[in-house]
Amino acid sequence: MNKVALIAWLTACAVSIWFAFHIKYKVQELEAELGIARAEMQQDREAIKILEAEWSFLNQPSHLADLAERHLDFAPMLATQVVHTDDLPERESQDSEGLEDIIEEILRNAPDKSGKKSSEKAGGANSAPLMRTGAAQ
Amino acid sequence: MTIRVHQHDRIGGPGDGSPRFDRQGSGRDSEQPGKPCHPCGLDRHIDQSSYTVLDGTVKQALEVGKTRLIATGLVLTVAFFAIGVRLVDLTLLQDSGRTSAKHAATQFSGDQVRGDITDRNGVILATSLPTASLFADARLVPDPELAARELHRILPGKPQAELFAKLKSSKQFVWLKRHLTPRQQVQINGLGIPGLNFRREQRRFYPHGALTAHAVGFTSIDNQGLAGVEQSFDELLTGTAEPLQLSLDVRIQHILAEELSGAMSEFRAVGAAGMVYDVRNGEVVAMVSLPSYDPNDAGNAVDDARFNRATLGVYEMGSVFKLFTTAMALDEGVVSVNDGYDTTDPIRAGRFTIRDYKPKKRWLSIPEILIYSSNIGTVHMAMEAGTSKQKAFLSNLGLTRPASFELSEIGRPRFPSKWREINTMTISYGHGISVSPLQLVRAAGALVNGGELKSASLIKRSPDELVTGTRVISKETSRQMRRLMRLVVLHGTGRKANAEGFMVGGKTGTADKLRNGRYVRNARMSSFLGAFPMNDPRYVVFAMIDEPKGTKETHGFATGGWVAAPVIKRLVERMGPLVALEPIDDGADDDRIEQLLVEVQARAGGQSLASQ
Repeated sequence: MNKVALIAWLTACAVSIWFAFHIKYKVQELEAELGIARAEMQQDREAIKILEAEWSFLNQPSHLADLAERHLDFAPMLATQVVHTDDLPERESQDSEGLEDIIEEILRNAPDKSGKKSSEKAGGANSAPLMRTGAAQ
Repeated sequence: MTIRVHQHDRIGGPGDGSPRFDRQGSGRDSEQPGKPCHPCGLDRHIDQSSYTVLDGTVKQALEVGKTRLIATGLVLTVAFFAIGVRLVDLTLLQDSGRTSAKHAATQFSGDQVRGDITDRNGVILATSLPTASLFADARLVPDPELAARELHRILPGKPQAELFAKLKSSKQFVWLKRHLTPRQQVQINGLGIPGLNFRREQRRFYPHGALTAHAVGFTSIDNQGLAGVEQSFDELLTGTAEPLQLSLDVRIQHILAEELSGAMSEFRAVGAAGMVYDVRNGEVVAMVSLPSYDPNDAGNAVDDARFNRATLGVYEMGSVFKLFTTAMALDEGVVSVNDGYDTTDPIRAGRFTIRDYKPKKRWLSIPEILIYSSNIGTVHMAMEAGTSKQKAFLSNLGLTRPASFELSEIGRPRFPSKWREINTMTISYGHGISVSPLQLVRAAGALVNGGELKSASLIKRSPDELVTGTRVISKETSRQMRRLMRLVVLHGTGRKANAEGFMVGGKTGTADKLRNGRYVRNARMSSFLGAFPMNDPRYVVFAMIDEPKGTKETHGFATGGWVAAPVIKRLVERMGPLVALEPIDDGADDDRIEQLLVEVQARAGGQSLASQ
């Protein structure tokens, strides 16, 4: 009886020692991993900071203005280019019927690309100033 | 484990086989000599008759021992139990993940990264970048001369003699070069000289350079704020890694700076300043002082460039002060818009004679006094209100004390300590009192926003924050002032500021500069103080050009109307769409405003006849 108990205790002791070391090594391993991950995070964070600073530097308004002038056809918007919806002239009745037809057609095949194209063509002349208003917001 | 008890010691009674000691201390008759004692019941199988009965001192000692054992055992059990509970608690019950994350967070903030400064849209204006700095433990450097030569090759900016002296100093710690470039660091590392070491540091970097230099400021090499927001928010910036958001808008700042520097070079001026101020909540949206400097190289900036003309400089603003005089006279009920004064004769006061720049030599109504910027008319207005009212009014507008603002570079206004009648006269048209542009836009904001003076701020205020101010004029006076300011731009000296669609209103100012207590004829300060859109003002705009010289295009004029007003026009035209202001058809509103002038003039017909 005593021997059984002794063996049981010794086994328990051995198991717990093994388990303790097992946990210890696992923790060490994880800590090393964590250290690496933290270092990587820190590096990434620094890299992000540098990139953000660079982004801000490249976005200097004077630099952007220079780029826009060289590569784009755009000019600063003038007040006269913005028209209120209420100020748009009424369409002739004939035209407005045509517009309704087009709207109906768009509604019928909404996901269809051809429908979209026709809407752009039809609305082009008059919607341009409106779209500019939108861009200004 | 047995206790042998000698014969002569035995005094106990008969052993009854129980581990218990016989408490009855039974008699000697059961005494069985010659048998060993087997206490503690360890050997129960042994014949009970062999038990020794203990008694007296021995029994007592054993009892004490046993109680002590039990007590110790209890204490230990409790202790182990507590440890066990705590172990289970730590490993299983507590959220271990969170605690480690918290730990990590504190570790990082302990790194002391100075917080970023951004503009109102989150564009970075100042940030900290990691760099390496080179230091030496001079005691460990084996050959200072060779090391100095090699380092000088990599760091041409450092004289070899200086490096040599430092390396020979046998100091434990000596900086050789702060903030190396990555390339230099690799090269120095490649030298493999013992005793040279790198320390990781933070370096402040200002991506927008000179554009926001005066607002943002700069730091020392040890990241201590020395100017601007960097200085005034030094503690906050070192404490957190959270970005500090300014009220500035980099885009509007750029437009203002570009237009001002354009005017500066066109009129060969020595400096310029400008501001855009939100009249609703007191935010400073743009603040420019020219010439500016690069905060990344602040050490080499000249004092004139470092000087913030927008907040630290105080200037005699000239005719823009007529707005305040008019507002005072209207609000105090001294005059109404229909009144006017005869401006035929110059005013003589002591050795001074106050004349008009362009004399009309007739009766002028209040709107006309502003439109033609008549000194004489304004002086009459101020004199009728009186010195004490003028002083109180200007003081209410915050023009007689330094503005409270988030910068340490704040100018102290200058005005006569003894406010005599002659001072009342000159101050009414902006001479004899010097204020900073910051004070001026804040006061002008109160004139147009319905009459409330708000506190100016360089830090972004949340859009739904209701900034309450102190009432300085009535709503009605504010409405009248808006119309008068619009009239100045429609018909008066400010015509060149009329940005179509944005209903600019304002007042020009031209002041001769003081030098050694005397006014200098050809050195003047030309400015324009305006607001837009006049039907519901959002922004006060101010532009000031320091010592402009007339050009052929301006027929030699260098007054506010010729120099500063066009700057405002272009500024408003460019920033209007950016701040999502819908251009308005100013025709209808302007007609209503012009009606005022027509009415006033109709009534004036009678007045001027009467005065003749």
